[in-house]
Amino acid sequence: MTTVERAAPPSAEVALSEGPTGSGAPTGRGKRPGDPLLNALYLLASLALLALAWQLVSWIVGADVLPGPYASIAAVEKSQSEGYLWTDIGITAYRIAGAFVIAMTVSLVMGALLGRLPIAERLFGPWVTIGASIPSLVVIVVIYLAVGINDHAAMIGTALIVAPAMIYAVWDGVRAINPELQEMARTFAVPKHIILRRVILPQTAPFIFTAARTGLSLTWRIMIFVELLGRSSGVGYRIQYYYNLVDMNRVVAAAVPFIGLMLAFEFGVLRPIERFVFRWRRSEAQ
Amino acid sequence: MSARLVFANLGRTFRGARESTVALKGVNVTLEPGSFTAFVGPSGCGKSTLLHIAAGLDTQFDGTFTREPADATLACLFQQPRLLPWQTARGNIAFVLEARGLARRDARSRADGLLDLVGLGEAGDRFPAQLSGGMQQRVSLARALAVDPDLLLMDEPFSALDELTAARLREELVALCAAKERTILLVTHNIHEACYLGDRVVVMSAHPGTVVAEIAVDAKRPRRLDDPRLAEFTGIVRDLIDRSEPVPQSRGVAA
Repeated sequence: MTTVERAAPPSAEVALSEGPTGSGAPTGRGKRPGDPLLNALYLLASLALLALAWQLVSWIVGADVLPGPYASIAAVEKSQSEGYLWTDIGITAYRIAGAFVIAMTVSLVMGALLGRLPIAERLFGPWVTIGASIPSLVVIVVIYLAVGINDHAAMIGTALIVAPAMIYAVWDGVRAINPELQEMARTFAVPKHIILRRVILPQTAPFIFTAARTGLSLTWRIMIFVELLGRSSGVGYRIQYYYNLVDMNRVVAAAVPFIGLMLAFEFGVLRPIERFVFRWRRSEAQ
Repeated sequence: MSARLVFANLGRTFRGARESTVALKGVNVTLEPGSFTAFVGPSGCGKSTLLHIAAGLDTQFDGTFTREPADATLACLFQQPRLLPWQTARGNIAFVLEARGLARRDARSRADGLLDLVGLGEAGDRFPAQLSGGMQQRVSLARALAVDPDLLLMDEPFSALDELTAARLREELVALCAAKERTILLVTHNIHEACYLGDRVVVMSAHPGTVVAEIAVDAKRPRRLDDPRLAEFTGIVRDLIDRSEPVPQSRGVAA
């Protein structure tokens, strides 16, 4: 993970200089609405190319090291017929959800504090940088020893490793809040809680989305590692188990379903929500 | 009921780490209920600071500022429209109404009426990014009128627009404001705009911001842009500003 030393927050001018329509919202990634059919075709082509590349690498390094897509999918089927596939996925998903909720809560609170209170930024800003540079292994081992080798420790450890990246994203969002809109709301005597909900939160929403997305994919990758070190169930445990048996088909097969699940979540849940919530951003060209 | 504003011996100093800037000093102005007062002056004369104080956004001033009645309804029109970009034109107007406790449906239907009033009846569903600068400022005007303010504060509301749009909006503003008696405070660096819109023009000078003169503009309404009386007032105000400006060459020699 990269660690970046954060400079002082940009002054209000940055947000102000965005012009009449800027109003502090980040431009984000350029979204092309495009033709849905064409988009689907491109996605299919992209997946086919990936499968091809995978097969190619498998041939080069040998199927006993990296099994190809066909062999892997066959192994997934076998693991399902043996009955451990869904319990693995369920238990890992549960741990990921727990870790994610902890990390999200921590980063929302910390990001808000760091972005709003200069004293908090001075005192605790460096902690985030330091936290981001502590090796994940150290965090996991210390938490396992402190909390005990159980699911709670796995969740807390993963959350702590993931949190700094998410805090950065939320922190950025809080700094990007345009004070002009708050001023406007105040002159219209809008009550504080409504300003928070309808003026401030919508401005930080894109950053919270970024935090959630990076956080979730990071949580999944770290959790596998955490399971491997101290749990006797879940996808991470299964990978380690078959690695010890040098059954690479089963190693890859343990990971593939979860990758599919994460992708389904991204495209089936996150993207549509994002498209709806940020529909005002795509409207410039019309 | 329109509001009455009194600035008495008003001062405002911005204290920086190295030096302090005196934005306002010894300002004594009263805005009578129902009057239209335009503050005009070069940049740095503290006119925007004055507006911030009137809006209640700035409370770190010296001297006294009173607004009667204290609970007078306030609306602000800024240089930038300051619309919520994630809300439609209708939603932006409804926002300030809902914040006052109006039910969502009532707020939205009132918003539609106001959009009609400013000539944007068709644009209710469009987001600010889909509107031109002039249309955005119209939405902003509709939002200001939505709360039926006793006191309307305007901070260079037309200076970011092209002159044709600005001229049209000024006329509309006059027409819309005539419907009800309200106190209006306009801050501008456009002398012609100040004379065209104001009953009274308060001329300010910079460094520090003080009031140089107050001129009652008694050209009758409705005013015509080419009214020679207006040109006369514009000339007088321009003269006053020129005289209050320090001559550039002498800067730094005195003191």
